Amino acid sequence: MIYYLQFAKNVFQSKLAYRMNVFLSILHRIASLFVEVSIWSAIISQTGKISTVMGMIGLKEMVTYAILSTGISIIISSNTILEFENKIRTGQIAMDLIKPMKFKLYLFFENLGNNLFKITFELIPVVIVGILCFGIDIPSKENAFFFFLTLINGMIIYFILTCILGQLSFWLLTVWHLDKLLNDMLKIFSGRFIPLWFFPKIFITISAFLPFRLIYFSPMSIYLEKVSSIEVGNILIQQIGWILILFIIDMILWKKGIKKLVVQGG
Amino acid sequence: MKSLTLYLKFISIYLKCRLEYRVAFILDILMPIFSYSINYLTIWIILNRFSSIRGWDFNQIMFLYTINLFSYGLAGIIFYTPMRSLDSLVKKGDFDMFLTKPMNPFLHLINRQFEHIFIGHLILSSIVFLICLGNLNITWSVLKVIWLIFVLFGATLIQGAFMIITGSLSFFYTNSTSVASSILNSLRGFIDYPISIYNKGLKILLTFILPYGFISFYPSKYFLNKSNDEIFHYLFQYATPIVGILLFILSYKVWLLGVNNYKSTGS
Repeated sequence: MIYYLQFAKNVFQSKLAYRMNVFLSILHRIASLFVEVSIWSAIISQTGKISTVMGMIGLKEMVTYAILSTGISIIISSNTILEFENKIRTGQIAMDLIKPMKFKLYLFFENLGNNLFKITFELIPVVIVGILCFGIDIPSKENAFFFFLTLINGMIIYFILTCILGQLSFWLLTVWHLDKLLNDMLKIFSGRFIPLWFFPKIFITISAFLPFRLIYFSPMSIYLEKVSSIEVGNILIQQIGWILILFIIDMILWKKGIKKLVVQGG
Repeated sequence: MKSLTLYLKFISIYLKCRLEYRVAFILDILMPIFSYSINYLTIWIILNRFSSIRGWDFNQIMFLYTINLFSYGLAGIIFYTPMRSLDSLVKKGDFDMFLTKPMNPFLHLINRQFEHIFIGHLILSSIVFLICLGNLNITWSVLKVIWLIFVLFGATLIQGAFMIITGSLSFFYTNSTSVASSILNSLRGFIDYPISIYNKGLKILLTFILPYGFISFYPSKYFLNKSNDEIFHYLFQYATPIVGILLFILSYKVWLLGVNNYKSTGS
């Protein structure tokens, strides 16, 4: 386990080498947060509170929503898919496979290092700016606990999804299209930008069949205290169900993919 | 003129090479179409629920967004990939090649690579534009059509100028282009919606410092007959082509500064 942590440390340190990038990505995050908050304040200031299926929504709640969802997008974004593609195409995966380690765990810990870096140098600055400029709602202790719990589950769902798509490069030439596709699906069906309570009915129905809302929308609706405790349990069950399903798909693909893998030269 | 014929030649070679992989080529073009359709869809969801943002209804915001997308696509075809590739060219020292050829390095770099992915942007924005036109009550005259072409030209120059400036950053900071271009994307996000929804500071920023407002917001105000409730002068509606030319000249100066700063790694 210790040496897996070393992978996380390596990523952290190598990212630290490019300071300009760190600065620019903070700017990038803050800029998009400003856009979101401005849109919601323009909309809500003209109508006051908005009644939805999940209760009244005020401006402060939407601002909190925007800050949280920016935060989640920071810790969630990863390049697992492209890394898979790169390793399989160049044949480097052969080298990784003969090392005494589990390839997926290695990816997971690399991701972890990446995340720790982004939490320190992107999430914390952006959240601080968000709180100072706009303010944020604080949930009850219980909701905060379930928020983090469902958030972690959501991150696991996202990680397995990227693994599944990345592994498709065993069969496909390029998978960057799939990477974009996943992001586009997330953009709309996860509630990343628009909370599901503003959706037309048909989109709510579609998103109920997809795992994406469990990554963004469900944790945030718990944070904003829009769901009852029964529904919290429901969300947890759905998340665990999706994790199991995706995990099984992932295992099957991995077994088949490794068998199919042919590395030339290297 | 000579470089134009050369450019056409380069494009035809590029296309021949890409069309070897037909499926990949078509997927490359379909991808942005899908991606930006999703963006249009998010705008639709919001406007479907709230009917207007600060007096701008769905079709008007689509018009605004479409000018942005079209000019971005046009600029992207020409400038995006050359400027993105600059990063590795500088890092590996391959930029030497451009300095030793009997041609302006800027033109050479741009000639050499063309980006077919952005054809998708152009297709989608043209379709949406036609749909929009049916729903908007704009009385078109010859003058207005000519003005629209000028606006698109100016807007494309603004978008291109930003691509050139961020690309030239790699002469000063290694590994900066990918992040810089994601910043550009988020800045472009600012003008997905009318900039009248932002506070004063952001309006000043988007008008004078990063003149993104001139790409779509100010010209749309003219076409959509929006009253001038802004803090800025109404003449700004007509400024897009001038801002485009000035900004493009500025970006070329930044490029020249970068080239002068270039020291080959010598490998």
